[in-house]
Amino acid sequence: MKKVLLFAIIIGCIPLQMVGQDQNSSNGDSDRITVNARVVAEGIEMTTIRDMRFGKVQPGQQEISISPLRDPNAGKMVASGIPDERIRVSFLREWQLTNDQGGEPLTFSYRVAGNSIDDQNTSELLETNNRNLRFNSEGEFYFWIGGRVNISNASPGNYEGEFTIEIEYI
Amino acid sequence: MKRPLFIIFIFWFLFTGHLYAQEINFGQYATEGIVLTNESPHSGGLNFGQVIEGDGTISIQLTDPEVVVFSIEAEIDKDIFVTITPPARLVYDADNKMDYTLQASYSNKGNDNKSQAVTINGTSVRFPVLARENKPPGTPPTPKHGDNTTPTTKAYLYIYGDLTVSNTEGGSLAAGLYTGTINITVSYEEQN
Repeated sequence: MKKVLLFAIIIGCIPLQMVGQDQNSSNGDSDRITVNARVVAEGIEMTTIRDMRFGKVQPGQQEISISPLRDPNAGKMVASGIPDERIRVSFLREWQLTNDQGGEPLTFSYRVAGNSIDDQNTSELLETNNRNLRFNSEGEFYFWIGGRVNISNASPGNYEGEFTIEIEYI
Repeated sequence: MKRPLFIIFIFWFLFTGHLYAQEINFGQYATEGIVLTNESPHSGGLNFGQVIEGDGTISIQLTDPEVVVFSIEAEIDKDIFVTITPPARLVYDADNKMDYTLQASYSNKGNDNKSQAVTINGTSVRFPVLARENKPPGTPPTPKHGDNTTPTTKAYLYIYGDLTVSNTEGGSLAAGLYTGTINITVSYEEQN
């Protein structure tokens, strides 16, 4: 009897595992994505070389238009960064010009031209979002800012506004 | 005779190892394969853009447009197991690395809706392809028979995270592109 008891104790000390069925299914799927970040040693600087100039409005004039491709009154900016690096440029197409004497603001529609060399005549019009631009070998890219505004209902006064452009490496 | 038997039973329960309850994984009966699709409108990868040393921690959050979105199409009455394997670091070269911390969520209400997303703690999760809406589990899935097929639906997986802009190898970060790879696996059964 003692042998039976001892045998039972030994058996009881051996853990028994019961596991459920485990059959692998081949119906799964997988994929992978890249995580990336570009470290830049320096940021991009924007310098305004000259502001856009409208000049005096003539009586009866309905619209003011400044061509960024040809007009010497176009605004001019230069971006500075890492030479030969690709950049993405985006800007807001429209902006409100406010009258310092009150009254309704005017909506200005910007047009921007860009060039890797300092030559307005060979510059090209940019879209609001551009990904195929590149700094030149000296790390510069030039912008000319023009546009148009309807002044048929404008009140007398001085109008001012801002131009917002965003540049980043890609 | 009864006393020795009683003692035997006591020792049995004291020293017996763990008893595992059987779990039937109905996923083994799935006949429709899982389809994992990158639905992101951008390049498809997780892009932190340009960073400058000293930026600290850059985060892509669930509501940001840079989040990578996957759809998981699977049988509507099954659970799925999702395993995400992130890189520990983004690497430029052996001397230039940055820490990346994975963040992920899923949505299983039948549509791509981040406001309904559930945060995944860790790198793996199990969830029903279609949420049971606080109801008790239904009847077991119907095994395939004849021409019967189980309908499918889509759950959604969102991948984002944090980047620490400093060199884990010491010194300044070299300028350039740092990359890593995230692997995603989805199955009806837990991958061991």
